[in-house]
Amino acid sequence: MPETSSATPETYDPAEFARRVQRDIERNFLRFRNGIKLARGSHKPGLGLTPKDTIWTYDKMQLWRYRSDQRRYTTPVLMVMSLVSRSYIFDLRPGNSLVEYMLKRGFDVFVIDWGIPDHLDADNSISTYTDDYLPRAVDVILRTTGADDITMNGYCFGGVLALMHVAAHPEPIRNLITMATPVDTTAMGPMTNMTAEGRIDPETLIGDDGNVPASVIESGFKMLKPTGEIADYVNLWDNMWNDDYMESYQAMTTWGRDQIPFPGAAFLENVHLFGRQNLLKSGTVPIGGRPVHLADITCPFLSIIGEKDHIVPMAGAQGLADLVGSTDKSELIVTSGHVGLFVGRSAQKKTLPPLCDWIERHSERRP
Amino acid sequence: MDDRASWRRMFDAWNEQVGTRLEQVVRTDAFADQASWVAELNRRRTAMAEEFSRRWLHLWNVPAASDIAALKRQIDSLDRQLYKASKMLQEVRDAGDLKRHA
Repeated sequence: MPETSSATPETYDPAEFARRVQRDIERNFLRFRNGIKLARGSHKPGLGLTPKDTIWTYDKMQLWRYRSDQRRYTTPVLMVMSLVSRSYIFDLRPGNSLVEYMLKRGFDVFVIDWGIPDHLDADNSISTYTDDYLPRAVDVILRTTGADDITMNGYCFGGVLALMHVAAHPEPIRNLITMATPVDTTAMGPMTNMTAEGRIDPETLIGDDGNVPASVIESGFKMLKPTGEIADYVNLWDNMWNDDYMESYQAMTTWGRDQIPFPGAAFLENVHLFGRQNLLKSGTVPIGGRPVHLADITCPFLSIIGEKDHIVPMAGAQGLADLVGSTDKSELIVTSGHVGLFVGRSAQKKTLPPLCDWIERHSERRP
Repeated sequence: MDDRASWRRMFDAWNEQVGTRLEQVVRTDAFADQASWVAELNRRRTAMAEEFSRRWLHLWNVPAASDIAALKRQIDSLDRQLYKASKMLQEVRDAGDLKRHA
């Protein structure tokens, strides 16, 4: 029997060719239409739309409680955002929102929005957040809900704030979760390298209002992925015909460019304590004039790390669980990037279910 | 089957090569040294230009932008102190109200 090859040679198929031409014509028409919408700035997707109430304000900070009629757990969950980005990322868009997902799972969800700092906040140190703002917010949550304790979930630098807060004020925190939170700043790359001893003086990054301008923060993030912006535009052109992609793109770019100034005093502390001395890794950080020991954190602890995180690389986030004093502690490594930990389709499958399962196991059910 | 257009395949291949290498470069100490040197150079250049324009404007008794900035910093600092003082007073007042109600 003669030997036959299983590979079929590429042949010209007029029907397939016509199908592709028709598809490209349709897509180009849609690209044109969506491009006009984008340039015009109309059809911007609504962000942070889940119904909520501002239950407390203090300085520029707001505490939001999300409405829900399906709360099944009495332990409230408080989300703590970093100081350089807006907190609506927790509730980006309907169908793509950590808050919405948690509400569906029956949690009572609270989010702290730090507001946009100005000259009045230039003296805010890390202690302002960990020893003043957070304890007051926790107090308000307990009074509002009647709960005895809460679950605190900090994202990125918000995780550092949550760690420092819980280490200094262990009560009434029932559980602590950190997401994409740096611990070893030597592995953080240019974000800490640039302000290392003998390089850029952090004081020179502070603007006239006493804070690090948002534009400096944005350039810092952009530097981490030098071709990131070009790749974004290429992706945009390639997918501009797709309405869903356009909505996601606009939502993410709006948030990504919505950086806020870093309060000057907190920034300087961040550079000296974490960047230059890497004190978080040592487990003891002087905050508010006294040493704060991570070993004093004894509540159940979960650290979630993104394997592809380019802002807080895995090497910079691993090892946190070893430093806390909790006996019930775990590390969850997810194949995702910094924001992809809880935003996007993949997060809905990979991160949010185990995160909510963990909180469920560690929360008190309503009678 | 790879459904990507040929221009897209080319870009992805380029980005895979160049983008990944650039990401590695920006994480090196050598890059941080060079970038901080350039930043320092820029800072000095701006400071020199400001110094020059300040002297020239002062010759004509005209305030320079740096004078205004310094003044603004002082006002901001004063504003911060006032804000803190009024916040403390408010807290003392609130605590007093609470005691009276108790």
